[in-house]
Amino acid sequence: MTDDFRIRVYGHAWAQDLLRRALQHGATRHAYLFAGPEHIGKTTLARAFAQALTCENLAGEDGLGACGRCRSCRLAAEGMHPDHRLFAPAGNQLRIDQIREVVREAALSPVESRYKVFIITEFERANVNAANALLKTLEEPSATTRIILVSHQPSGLLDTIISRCQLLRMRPLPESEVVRALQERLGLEEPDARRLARLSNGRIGRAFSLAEDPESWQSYNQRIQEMQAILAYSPAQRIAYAQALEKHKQLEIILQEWLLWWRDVLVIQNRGQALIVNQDHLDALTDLARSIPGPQIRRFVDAIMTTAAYLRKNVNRQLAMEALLLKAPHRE
Amino acid sequence: MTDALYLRYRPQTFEDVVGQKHVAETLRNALRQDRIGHAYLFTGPRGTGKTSTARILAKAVNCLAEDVNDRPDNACPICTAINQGRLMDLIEIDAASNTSVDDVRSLIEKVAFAPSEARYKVYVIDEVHMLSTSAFNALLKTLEEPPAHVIFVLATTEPHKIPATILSRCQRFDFHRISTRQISEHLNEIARREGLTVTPEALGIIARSATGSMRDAISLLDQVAAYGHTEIDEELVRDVLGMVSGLAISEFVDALAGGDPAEVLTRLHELIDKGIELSQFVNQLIDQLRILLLLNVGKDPNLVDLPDSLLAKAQEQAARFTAPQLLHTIRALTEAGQALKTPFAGYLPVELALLDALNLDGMTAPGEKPVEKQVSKPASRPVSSPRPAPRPKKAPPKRTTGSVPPPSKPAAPIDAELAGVWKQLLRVMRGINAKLQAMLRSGEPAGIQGGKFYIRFKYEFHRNQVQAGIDDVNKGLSQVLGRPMEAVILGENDPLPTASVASQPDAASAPTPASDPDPNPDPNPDPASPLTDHPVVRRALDDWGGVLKPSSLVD
Repeated sequence: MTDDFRIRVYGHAWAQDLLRRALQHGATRHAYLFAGPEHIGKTTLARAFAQALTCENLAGEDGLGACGRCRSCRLAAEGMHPDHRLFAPAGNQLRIDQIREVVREAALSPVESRYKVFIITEFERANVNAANALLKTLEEPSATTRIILVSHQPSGLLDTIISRCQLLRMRPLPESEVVRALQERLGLEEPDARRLARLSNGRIGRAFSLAEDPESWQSYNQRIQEMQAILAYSPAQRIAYAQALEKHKQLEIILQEWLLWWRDVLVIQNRGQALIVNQDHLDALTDLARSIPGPQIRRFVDAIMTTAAYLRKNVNRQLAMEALLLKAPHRE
Repeated sequence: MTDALYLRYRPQTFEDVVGQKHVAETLRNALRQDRIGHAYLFTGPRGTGKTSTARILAKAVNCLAEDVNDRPDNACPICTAINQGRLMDLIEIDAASNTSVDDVRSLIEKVAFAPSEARYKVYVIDEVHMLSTSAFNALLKTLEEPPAHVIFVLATTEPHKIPATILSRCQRFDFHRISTRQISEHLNEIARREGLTVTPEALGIIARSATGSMRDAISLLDQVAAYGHTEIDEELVRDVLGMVSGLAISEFVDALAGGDPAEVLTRLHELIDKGIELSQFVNQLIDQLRILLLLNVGKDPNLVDLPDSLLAKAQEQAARFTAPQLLHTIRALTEAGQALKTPFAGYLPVELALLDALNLDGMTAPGEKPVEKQVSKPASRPVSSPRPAPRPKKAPPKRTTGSVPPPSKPAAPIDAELAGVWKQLLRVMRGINAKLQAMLRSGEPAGIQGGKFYIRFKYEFHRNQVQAGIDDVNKGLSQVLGRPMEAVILGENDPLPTASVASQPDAASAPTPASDPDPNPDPNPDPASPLTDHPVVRRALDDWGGVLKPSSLVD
């Protein structure tokens, strides 16, 4: 086990299959776009693919087929491979300088492997100029170059970029896959794993960070308690709470939690008990479902989504949260 | 060979370029008559053959074949050199990474030199829309009167970004989106040459998904072929695209028609667990509902392009919905499709859209729907019995969980109160939705009961219009009454759910909490009555604390 340096990818069996076949037949393409929601393992798949592309043996039958033992695989797993180049946005943007570096290096031969592999993450952050600068290279790079673009917002990319790549639309993992991964990797018990899997909504990265950080789990439960308490608050109290909340670093995650919570209430009102995310809070949810009218919840859910959109646009966080909390349903 | 298919099958002659006959013909005629322009602008969507045509043109003007009609022959040294990408006199410039005026200057400097081996030097400036303004301007003089041995070909997907001064110096050719039929024919040819077996249905799906871009289509074929199956069928293509089978869509529509939200959500999650691409699914569902809508409003089945086997099923499904239901569902799903683009909420927008679509129905009172149906389209609905039966079942339980139990306490005369609420509603609605307010004016209030506000309309048109904006009416009502209230639309002769209601005043309609023994529940406060009793004032006091000072109330 200790000398196995394969980069492990959970789920996405079809994508792994497709890439392994291409590798085996020597039919990999020069440009790929891995698209799909955040935290589902796109970059991990890209790194594993890069590892397989430069593997010296390429013997494996599972995963992507990297042997996991050769020098090249080890370097890849450690992120030190000279022919692997990972580009991530510097700050808020993927800069044109970075793309120019890709264009320049893509014209060079690999240092020691068959291929030079470029992974560019969060490609939606490339501005128009940067994206355009990559077009020609992306269409016809040198025969030893492989470019993998990663993006969670393919709708934000230029059509001309997308049409030059082989597009792999990756999807959130089925619950069972996340459960299996959590059990295998972290040795979690089945009920814990299942709860995390549901909460993470098929985003395996999120499940892992929840699992590895017990504090975040605790604070999740606490926030859920608080949110229920809010319902009885007066507007003045709600505003005070909003002020406290506004300082929280991961406001978006909190909003996501609320969203899932109220979605559960709505789902229970529509008799979909089996589908709820917060299975361990079934009683509280059912209680809410009985006492708060559906349309009110529906409006609040809308308000949460709108607020999340506002926050992404850098509005005044405190005002946004105050307005949202005042819209929360009221209950004695 | 590890070329992508779209590179391997780049067209090499004018005949190979699919779907751009108008361009190819014009260029060939120009060649025959030796009237070649000095500057061309190729515009059109991605993957329609701009760069390919530019290269073919470069070959054609330089080709050594005797007969003009044979050019390019792809055999002479020049053509071979171009095909191998090593002809000195074909200069391809990536304008997107060489955007500056200096890049253009160095180009202009070299333009004057004669070609090294070919007749013409051909400059292909790709993605030309990315040049900076000064770079464009630096190009102007050269573009207008280049040396006789130079041909410029500018190519872009975004002609609107090209300055007019450039446009007027070029012969412009617009490349069109390629039709689905042409794409699938071409794909078929490629598949044959690659030794792939592809079913016509699979080709159809690929061609449609490509939306007119040949490169997209070939990429997609390539991707599907990468799975290494000997035969490529519909199912495989759907898997790759994350699409759902027509049967699954049809079953899903059945579930929607059944009207049980739990069932619909369960099915949705079954599909999600199978790993479908949600936005694809939403689009497919919208397409199907659109077909049902067409069948529902128009009686002519020729409106939709469906084989007979599917048509019967679709007609049966269409009969299970009303047109407003379908419209509302399509609208909700379209919005959900938009919301899916920001990944914040995951599958939630779709769930909400489906619940909204189902609950629209729950808002109308049981027994009202059939009447409206008969009035609206008696002929188009041969099967009307399956619809009303399942719907009302789910509506009442949801409502009752939602609304506050109505205390039975007599209050002020209902008519005066109703009229007051109505008047206020009309006033409030003007601010919320003026168009809707105009519609509302043609109705009359019929009663308030158990969290529902009944409005009677004589004409179906008004009913439908108001029904479509029912959310706004609800909003207005809750503004007026200070608590959630639901508007229910009645036809001219529809009875109120309980006969006694119209005469028996219902205390739930009073705007104040039931526990409060307020003698004057009129929400429209009489100027004479003490303001402190106004529900709004009381609510403010409850919420914020504080004391009401007399002075602050004077005028």
